[in-house]
Amino acid sequence: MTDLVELRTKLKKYSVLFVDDEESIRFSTGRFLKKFFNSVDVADNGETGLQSYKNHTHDIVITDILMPKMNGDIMAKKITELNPDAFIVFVTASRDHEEYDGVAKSFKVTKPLSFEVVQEMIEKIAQMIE
Amino acid sequence: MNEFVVQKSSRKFVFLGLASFLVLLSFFIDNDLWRSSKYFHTIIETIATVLALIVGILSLIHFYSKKAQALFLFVGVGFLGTSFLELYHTVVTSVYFDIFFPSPPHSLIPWSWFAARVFLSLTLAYSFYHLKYKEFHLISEKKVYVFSAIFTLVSFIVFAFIPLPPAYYESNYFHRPEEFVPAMLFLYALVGFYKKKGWENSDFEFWLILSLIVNFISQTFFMTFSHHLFDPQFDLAHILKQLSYIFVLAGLIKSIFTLFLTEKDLYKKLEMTNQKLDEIVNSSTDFIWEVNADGVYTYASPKVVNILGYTPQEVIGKTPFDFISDSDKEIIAQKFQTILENKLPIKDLVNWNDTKDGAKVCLLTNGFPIIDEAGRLQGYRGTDKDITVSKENELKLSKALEQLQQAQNITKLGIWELDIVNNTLYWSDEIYEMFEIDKNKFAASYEGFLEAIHPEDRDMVNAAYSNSLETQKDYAITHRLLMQDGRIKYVQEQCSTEFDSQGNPLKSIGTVLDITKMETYKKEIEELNKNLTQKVQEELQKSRDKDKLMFQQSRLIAMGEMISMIAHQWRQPISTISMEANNLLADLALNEVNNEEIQTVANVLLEQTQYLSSTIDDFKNFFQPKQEKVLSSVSQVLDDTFKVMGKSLDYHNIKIVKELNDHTQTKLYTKELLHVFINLLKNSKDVLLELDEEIEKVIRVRTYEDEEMIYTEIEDNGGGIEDSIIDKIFDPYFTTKDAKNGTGLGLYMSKSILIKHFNASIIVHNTQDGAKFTISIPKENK
Repeated sequence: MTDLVELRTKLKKYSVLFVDDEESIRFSTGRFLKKFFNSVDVADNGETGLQSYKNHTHDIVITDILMPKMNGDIMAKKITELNPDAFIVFVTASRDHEEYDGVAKSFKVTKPLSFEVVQEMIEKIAQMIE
Repeated sequence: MNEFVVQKSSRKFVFLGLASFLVLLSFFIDNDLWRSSKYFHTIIETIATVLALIVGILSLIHFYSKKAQALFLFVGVGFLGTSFLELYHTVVTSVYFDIFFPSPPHSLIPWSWFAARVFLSLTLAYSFYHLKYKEFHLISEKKVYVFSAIFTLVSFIVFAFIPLPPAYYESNYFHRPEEFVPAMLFLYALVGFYKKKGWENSDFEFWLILSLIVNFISQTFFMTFSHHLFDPQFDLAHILKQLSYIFVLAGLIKSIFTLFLTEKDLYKKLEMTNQKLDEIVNSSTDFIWEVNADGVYTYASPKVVNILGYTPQEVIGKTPFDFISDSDKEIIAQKFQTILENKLPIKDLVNWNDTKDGAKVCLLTNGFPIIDEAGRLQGYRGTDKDITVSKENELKLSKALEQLQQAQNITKLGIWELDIVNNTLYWSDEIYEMFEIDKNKFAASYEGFLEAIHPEDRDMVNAAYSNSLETQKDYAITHRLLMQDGRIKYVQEQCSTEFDSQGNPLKSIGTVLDITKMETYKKEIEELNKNLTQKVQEELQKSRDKDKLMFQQSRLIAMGEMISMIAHQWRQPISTISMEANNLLADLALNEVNNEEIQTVANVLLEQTQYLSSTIDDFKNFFQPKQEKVLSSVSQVLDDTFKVMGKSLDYHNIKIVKELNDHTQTKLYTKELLHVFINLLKNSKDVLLELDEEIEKVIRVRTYEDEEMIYTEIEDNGGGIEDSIIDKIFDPYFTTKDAKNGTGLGLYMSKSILIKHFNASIIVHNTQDGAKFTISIPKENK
């Protein structure tokens, strides 16, 4: 297992945008991400998420897919249009969700987000961002 | 007329006295006492001729006037002939004519006397002979006259042309023995008539016997002893002959007089009888009539008006066939012909007649033939009795009897009558038939009746009858009969008993009706009914089981739906909780554990468990098996529905537009209504999920109410339902979805629940872009 302290040191310079329509999840997950990343912004749907990205051009975007107003995948497509190198992580309930075309750097994690899953996710982000 | 009657007991003495006197007289007469002359003889014989003529004529008149006994014919003819011979005798002995005859006077006088005497005695003797031996044969009058005529003519010729022998013989005693011949004939007639004893009652025969006594004695004791012509014996014999004629004349007169008196009396009697007859005729209610040989009425009693409506004057001159009804004419005519040909009495001949005013009367005709002496039919006399009423009653009775018999035949109704006093039982033929007992072999009896009853029913029937005798009440009973071959028949008995004033039973009358067929049908119907009830109950049970099963299936489906809803509801809190756990684990791994963070995590966990708990409460109610009414409203139930379903709909991006305008609080089976709403919303959701992602998916829920109903509309924009199946969507197991999503029970169960628990209705129709279900729930529901 990779040392989380090591990973934190590595990732402390990057910014993250987390998009989810559930307030409690934003609150819990936001606090978790804050422990590893430099800055964490949250948005409650695709539209606000896209707006926040336009303003800050986060290094990493972590998003839910099923959301009101604008889905996660539509938002991802629009972010990639702005920045083809954007790094997007999809959080999905469905295990067989396909990879998204047109997004250069992306992977998906499947709910529920156990400690192992979030560890792997942090590790994978750290690998891919270099 | 009694003074003319010589007492019968003394008649014998009269005979004896007269005979004795004459015999004695003959002994005292001496031959030489006197000698009369030819003149005296002529005078006396002239008188005798006249007397004989009178007697003869009177006797014949008497005979012909009354058709009296043949005796008068003989007497009449005898005396007429005698009078002719007497006349001849008188003539030949007269001084003027004797010269013309060939014989001398002493021959001619005795022989002509003799001829007259023989003729008379012969006639009287024969008359007795005829009366005695040929009483019942009418003698032909012709024969009598021809005989008399021949006899008198022969005597006349003999005396006129043939010389006669002497009549007197010289002897001591009998000088004229030939005179015994008429004497013996007189004696024969005398003894005969005396022995016949007719004289005891008949005056004429009494006088006839006196005349015969005189004749016999005059011949025997006087004329035979005459010595010469014109001597005392000769004269007395002539005088006695006159006397004998006078006696007969007296008898005749007496007889005619008696007859006259009798006739007078008869006439009086006849008048009285006529009067009585009139009274009888007038008092009789019958029509009394007389017809002649041609059948024409010659008499009709006044009562004919009451019967036929015609007066006697109208009836007389007509025949019975002018009144007999056409329908009867032929038959009656035939009967009459037989009666008339044989001169028979008419006996109880029933015939229908038309009255003057056109009504029908039935007459009972009786009559006797009127036959004259020659045996010819002169007509009929009789009566007609009006028997219309009794005949009509008879017809009614016979018709009623016939109908009764027919009714018995048709209904198989048997009739019985038990004469309790004389212990006799009558069964109608139907009973014998019903009991299958040979009428000729088995007499009806109460024991025989009990024998035919099914053994198990015997006591019951016996008790019913005995009881009715005690209580004096009629009874009806149904029981079985056991036939000899083991078949069972059902009969219904009804019985009524007559009692005297002391309450003793006199006779029982009853009916027996064969109801075997009815009873069999009844049994069959009962059996069918039983089976039917069972079948219906089985089917009902099946149906109930099926309903129950379907309801359970439907409930399971709803539960499945809820599980999926729970999954949606719980996904977020579960994610949050696990993320909080991650926060703690990350702090541990980073060696940055701090109290503040632990406090935050704990707060979030509590908050999330609270939410989980409230979510469970929302679903818990639905899974409770107990059904009960709760005070609520339709909009409240709809809110509950969205509490459990909202997340699921949100998740699928389905927009809910609510417009709830009902306010009535009422007692509702809320869980059932929730079930219905979940079914309908799930249907809409399933339809909407099939649409393209770009189309906005909307479910509109609208409630409103009027005075009686609360309406709920659930409308989606899922494209609606095809017209070809819109009528079938409430049928069980009807589905448009594939096997994974649908069972075809949702709408069927929803409708069943609405009808059963809310007395409500549900209809569906297509809108512009979808389907709209409308539920109408009465405010006053059970």
